[in-house]
Amino acid sequence: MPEPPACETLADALREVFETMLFTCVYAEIPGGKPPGSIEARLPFGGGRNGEFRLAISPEAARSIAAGFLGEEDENQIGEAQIGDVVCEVTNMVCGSLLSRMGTDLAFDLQPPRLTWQDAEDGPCGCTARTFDLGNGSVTVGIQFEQS
Amino acid sequence: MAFRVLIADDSPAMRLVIRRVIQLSGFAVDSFVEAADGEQALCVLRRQAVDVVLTDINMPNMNGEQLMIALQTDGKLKTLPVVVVSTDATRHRIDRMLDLGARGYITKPFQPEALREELERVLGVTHA
Repeated sequence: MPEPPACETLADALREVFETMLFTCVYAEIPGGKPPGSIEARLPFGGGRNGEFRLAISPEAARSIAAGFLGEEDENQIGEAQIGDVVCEVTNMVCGSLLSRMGTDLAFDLQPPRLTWQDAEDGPCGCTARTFDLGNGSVTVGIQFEQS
Repeated sequence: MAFRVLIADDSPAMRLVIRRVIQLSGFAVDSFVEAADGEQALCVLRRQAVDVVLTDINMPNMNGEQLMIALQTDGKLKTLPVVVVSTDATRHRIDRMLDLGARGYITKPFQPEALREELERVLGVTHA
């Protein structure tokens, strides 16, 4: 089973996606779990490394990010389906960036992200999860590898 | 010259972003066509001419790899330039897609100018 990524690796993957395509800064890691009422997406991956990646983002930050990503100036014009679609795409990009940073020797297959609108049960022990401040909310990312 | 671009990606948000990025970059586009997976892309390509295809890899029904194989076995479509736009930045995947006939590869997330430059390179466009 691969080693869980270091906090810096998670942060670097998040920053790459958020700053390049979402025009949003990722600040320091903050204590606590995923934000209340967060929009969460789960993405199973396979190939050389099997596991699941999770990303949970606070509702206000999700709306703001979706508006920026879609080029919509008025956040109120963004519907829940669009927010969900953007959260899934962000999850896809962060997971790809993270796995690519964890070694280039093995290819991986990303499954379509599944959206969880309500607070889901936390993952089993062993899931490496970190929460980062976004200024107008927070984002929690976690990854878990299956035992080989 | 303006180009006809097909975008194949299962995420409507990503298709919209790619369209917007290309338009804002100043790349000359005649028209966009969209497909939610490789199967739809193939269907569109068999009835409508385009100049370049931008495709994701991880898509339902027919993924980007299967789309490349289908294009390579189609006499009329095998020379169509394809640029892969994927989150997978592993050397293994990039080599695999290029081996299957993709002319370009760009990883998500991408800078807007990187997408334009890749399109220009693949289409042999000299930027004024």
